[in-house]
Amino acid sequence: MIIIKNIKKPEYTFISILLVCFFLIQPVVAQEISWFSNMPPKEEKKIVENGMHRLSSIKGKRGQSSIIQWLRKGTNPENAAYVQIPDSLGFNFWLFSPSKKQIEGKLITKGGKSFFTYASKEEGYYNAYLTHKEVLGDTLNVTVAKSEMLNHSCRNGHKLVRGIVGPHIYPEIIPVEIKRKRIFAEDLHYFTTSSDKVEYQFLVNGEPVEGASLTLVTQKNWNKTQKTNKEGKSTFQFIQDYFSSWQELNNREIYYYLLYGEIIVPEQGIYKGSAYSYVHYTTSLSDGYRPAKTMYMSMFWAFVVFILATVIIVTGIFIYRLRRQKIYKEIKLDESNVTNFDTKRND
Amino acid sequence: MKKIKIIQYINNSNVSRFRTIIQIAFFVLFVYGGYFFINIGQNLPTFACPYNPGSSGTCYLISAQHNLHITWEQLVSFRGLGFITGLGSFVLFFIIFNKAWCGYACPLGTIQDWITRLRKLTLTRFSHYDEVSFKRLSKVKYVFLVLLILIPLGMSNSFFGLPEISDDMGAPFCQICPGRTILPLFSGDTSQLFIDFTTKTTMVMSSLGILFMALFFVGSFFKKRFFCFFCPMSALQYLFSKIGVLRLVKDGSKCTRCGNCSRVCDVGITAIADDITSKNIVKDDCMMCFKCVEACPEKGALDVKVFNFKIFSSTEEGFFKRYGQGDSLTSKKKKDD
Repeated sequence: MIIIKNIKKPEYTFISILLVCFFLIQPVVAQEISWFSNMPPKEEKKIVENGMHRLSSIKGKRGQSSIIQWLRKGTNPENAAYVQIPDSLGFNFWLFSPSKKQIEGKLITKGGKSFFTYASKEEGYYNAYLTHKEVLGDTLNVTVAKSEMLNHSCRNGHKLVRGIVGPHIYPEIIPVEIKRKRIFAEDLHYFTTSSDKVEYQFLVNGEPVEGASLTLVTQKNWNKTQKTNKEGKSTFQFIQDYFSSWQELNNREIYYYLLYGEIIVPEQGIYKGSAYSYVHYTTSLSDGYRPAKTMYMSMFWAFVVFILATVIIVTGIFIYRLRRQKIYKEIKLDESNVTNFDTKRND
Repeated sequence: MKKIKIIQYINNSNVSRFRTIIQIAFFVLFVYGGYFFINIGQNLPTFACPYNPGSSGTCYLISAQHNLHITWEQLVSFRGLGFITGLGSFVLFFIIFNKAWCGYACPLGTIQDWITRLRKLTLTRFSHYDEVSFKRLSKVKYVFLVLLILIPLGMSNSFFGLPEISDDMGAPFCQICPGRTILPLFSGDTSQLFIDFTTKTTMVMSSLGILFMALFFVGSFFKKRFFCFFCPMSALQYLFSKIGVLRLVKDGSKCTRCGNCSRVCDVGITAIADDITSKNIVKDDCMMCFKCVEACPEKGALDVKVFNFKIFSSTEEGFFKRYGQGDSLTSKKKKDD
């Protein structure tokens, strides 16, 4: 109060303007980001990890399994709530096969949780989207939750890998999405690991957008926000989010991350009878990552084991050969005995 | 007349030298073929290791282990067809050359032969097993074969209510196979030389892998074709050996049991000399290098056949030509005649 009293009117106005500008240039922090998660709720016991990418799956008839992903809200992958799709119009679910064909996936709401399942048959990335459009005030909110799920079995071989692992986008149907750039040597066994630098592109109607804010949140709630460049790209380096005691070493442990991006674009229009002046695009992408494999590999210990084994085996052979060596012994024949024997026989 | 001359030329030829050339050609094909976009297939009856970046194919053992990493329900469903078709294509590849895949095409076999040459240069004495050890150790490869079938099945199924085996076993035989650690080295890839501390299982398996690599190098230095004795691929091949197109046939009535054939055998099979009743003389440890045919001085005692056509036979003339006294003895024989 004292401060405010001491501030003169022009200064007061100036500070007010500064405060308004500050809030305007701040990235809009999404309070409720919807995203598809591979992490099963704690009470789900029938869920198994499936395939190369340990996607959650449920077993059906004849042991065939279906991939399952849950809808969640919130920006902390560890604590975000499992939610159900509200019974309002405007939500659409899309599922595309690796051959870019729209396929039927079941979007089910059960026990207050929404999830989708599908049986993966083709090799490559399946894309799932949940889109929603709604006018609030003068803004059209367009939200898209995206999920990319890799299906691969080594039994099907590794031919034409480069063509299979490529990302697919659907600008004619999906208004906004984040595309992960594939690395040069990416194959069907690819898994993001900590320390990897991964490039993402923010696309609105298939076109890259500059200045969109992208936020990466790891499972332990480490987060980083960056703006996209002219090409709509932003690169994140994944931190090591997992440290364990020696006894619990497991670099196969998957940790999940959530990446979400948003931008407000001035655009006038009418949606379902409501006029709007801005469009607020929000999209999310979630996947898993592992601790860097190289952290758990030791060439030094391999060298030690090799040298030790070699020395032990060579020494063993040397000792074995030494023991089997027959010491030279001169054998003297007692000729007198021979004579005696002959004599006896003759007798 | 011309036909007889060709046959005579082949029978008198030095097959071992021919084999060395073929081995080098196959080694280049299987180890570097991938760099030339060659892909032979996924079910090869030899160690074309996919861990090697330059490999032009995939060894059947890894495919089999992958195909068997399924539940019982899946095994008897359409998915089980993957195993059957894989085995089918393995057999198709195999029957053409029979066990000559080991003697002529296997990159690991070729490396062992090179190590044997190195031993000869260093004038080190080689080792061989006595008959009892030979018979006992000969069974080890079948144990490996059974394990590489059962472990992948045990990773997806429970045996007798026991817990499932850890997925970290991956393709279990590949974890300990010297091919995984050694063949990538020829492409300059050292990425397989590590102990994997990811889990206790991977730690044990990767340590065993390095241990087997050391055993491979030291063992094959002192004993010719040391690893072939324990190779589950050899065991699997033997199961289908009878239907092979290429055959090694013995005529016991012509055999004098001189023992030349078993003495030159790199693996040390004594049955090839002792067995005078069997016609098909391909034993489970045989790699069809045909050194025995080269060393046999009795005409027609040992024959290499494709179906029933002889392509290489043991002859006295060929024996003496190869072993250095050919000219004098042949001419003497002609004079005698």
